Amino acid sequence: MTHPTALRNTILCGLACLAAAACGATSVKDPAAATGAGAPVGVTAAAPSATPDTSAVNQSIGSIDNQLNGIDSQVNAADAGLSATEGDPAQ
Amino acid sequence: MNVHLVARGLASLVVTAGLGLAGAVAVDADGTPSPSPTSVPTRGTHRVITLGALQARCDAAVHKRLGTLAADDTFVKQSAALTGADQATLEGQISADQSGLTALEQAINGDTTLVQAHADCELIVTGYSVYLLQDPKIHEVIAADGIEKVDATFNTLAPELQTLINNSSVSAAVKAQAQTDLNDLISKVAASHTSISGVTSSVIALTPAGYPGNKVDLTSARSNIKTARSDLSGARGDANKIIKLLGA
Repeated sequence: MTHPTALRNTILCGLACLAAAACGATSVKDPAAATGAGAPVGVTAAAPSATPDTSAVNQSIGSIDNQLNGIDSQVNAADAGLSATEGDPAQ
Repeated sequence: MNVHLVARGLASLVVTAGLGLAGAVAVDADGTPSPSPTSVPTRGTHRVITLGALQARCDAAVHKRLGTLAADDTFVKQSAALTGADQATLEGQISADQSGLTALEQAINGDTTLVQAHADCELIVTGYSVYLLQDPKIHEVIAADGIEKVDATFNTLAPELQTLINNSSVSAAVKAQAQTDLNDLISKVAASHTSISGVTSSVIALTPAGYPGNKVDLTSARSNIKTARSDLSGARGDANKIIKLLGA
């Protein structure tokens, strides 16, 4: 016959195992897991996104547009200067 | 000595001084200089100018140029496009011109004869060439440095676009078209870089002493800047096409 204390310990051990398993399952949902860091072996990489993140591209393009506008004003100013005259006091 | 001849000589000098400065003032006055100022009197017109009037015109010519240099200095100081070295060089040149023109103005105001004042007034143009050389040169250097900076930004953008293409879920055909556009973008940026290489160094050290011989350097630089700018427009168009293709 099983001793009552041994039976209690077996039940407690079983509960502890269940709790540990539950913790493991929860940790997969941790945000860190979504980034791929420490992802469990066998988990495949995310599929290519249909709407890719373009924030970096948009930032670069915005910067390029601003710089091009600045260049255009300088080119126009240089054009004006190159078609200018200062008069010729020597004449 | 024949008094009549002396009087004619003096009148001729007065007209010559008037003609020269009228040309300078015509540029200053309207801000949109014309190659053939209509306000210059004909040679047959004898216009008498006093020393005081000549000095006043020269003062105005100096001040107008100091105003242009001050505006250029603001451009140079505030430019995000200029490299540190080019910024320092241009600031030094502008500062030297400002000091020189201010000293020249004082010299003109201290002149006691028309001959002296006329000779000093000529130096406003021949010694500084603010409108013909310095001002366009400054704008060209800012533009050329700006092109190089945009080239660098495109070099950051290209791998970002490549990542977008690689990760996109569009069809293989669309992906291939986007890749072709990206290759074209990279090629145009490289062409722009080739066109702009050496432009800044070809103009930044030009001096009024070399004018008009060095005008060809200014026009050549302008041509290269425009070619490089055109390539960048093409590259910018490619970036747009890629983003549209990917539906990003």
